[in-house]
Amino acid sequence: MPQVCVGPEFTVDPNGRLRLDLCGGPAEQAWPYACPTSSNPLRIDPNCGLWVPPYAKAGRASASGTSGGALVTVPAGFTEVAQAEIEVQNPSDCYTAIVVQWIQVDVDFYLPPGTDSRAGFRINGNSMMALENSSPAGGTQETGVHWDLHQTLVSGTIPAGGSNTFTSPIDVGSGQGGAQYGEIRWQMRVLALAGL
Amino acid sequence: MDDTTPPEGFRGDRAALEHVRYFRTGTGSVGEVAESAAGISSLPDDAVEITARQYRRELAGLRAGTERLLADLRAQDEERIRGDHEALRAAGIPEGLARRLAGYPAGEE
Repeated sequence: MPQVCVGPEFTVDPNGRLRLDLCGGPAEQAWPYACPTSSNPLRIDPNCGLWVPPYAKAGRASASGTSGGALVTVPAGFTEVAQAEIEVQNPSDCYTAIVVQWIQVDVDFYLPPGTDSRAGFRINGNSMMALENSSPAGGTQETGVHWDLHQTLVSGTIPAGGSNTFTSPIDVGSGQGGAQYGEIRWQMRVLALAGL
Repeated sequence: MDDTTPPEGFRGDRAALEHVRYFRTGTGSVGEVAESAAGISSLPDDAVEITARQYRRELAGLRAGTERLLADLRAQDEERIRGDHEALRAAGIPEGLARRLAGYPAGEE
């Protein structure tokens, strides 16, 4: 014969019926149970308080930087000249966060004419741009030309309750013909989604 | 430009970044890092922190140096174009063609 176990959250009413007692409004405090990983279990605490698992949270952060001012010859091989960096806190103590990063980089280039001058830059190893001044000697100087380009990354995660630092090296390279770079500007915008 | 104004050429929601630090690197470049919360980013390894006033003064100096360099290059260009034009005219090339061959931009004397 099957056995039915009844906890203290059940009481028998005057008519002999089994009633489930639940108390609303348990004290606001951290989720006292293990964090759910694949289901959404309700919990009843020893004082008959009913709990639902922690809700999803989102967080955002931004950082930006500039550097430069003096003109520097663009090297032939790609060389790191700046680093976009941001530390992101997981907004949830319970769930792993997925992280979307938007990395925006803008570099000023100076390309003389007559030398087939070239330059480019990379974000996180990804070549974003290759510039060339193909005008002949006596042609146009390209001074302070720049593009403001984005790299988007979605592969980042942060453990529950933790933080992670995300960095993206910024490299200039593919330089020839006397090409130079000046100011470098970067901005990182980050969205962390936990429990979704 | 005050401390909260985004640098020229880079706008967007950057103005919301409240925590700003300024630095100078080993090569003499200057820069700034702005953050939505203090300490979430970092300065380059060889950076020395400087004041906003120092940053603005040194950046203005660096930009002025670049401007002087570019002005020199433009002056050299103009001198070469003028010389080419004179040589072509001396060789009997008509004015309009001499200007085109020498590379005078359209509409410039």
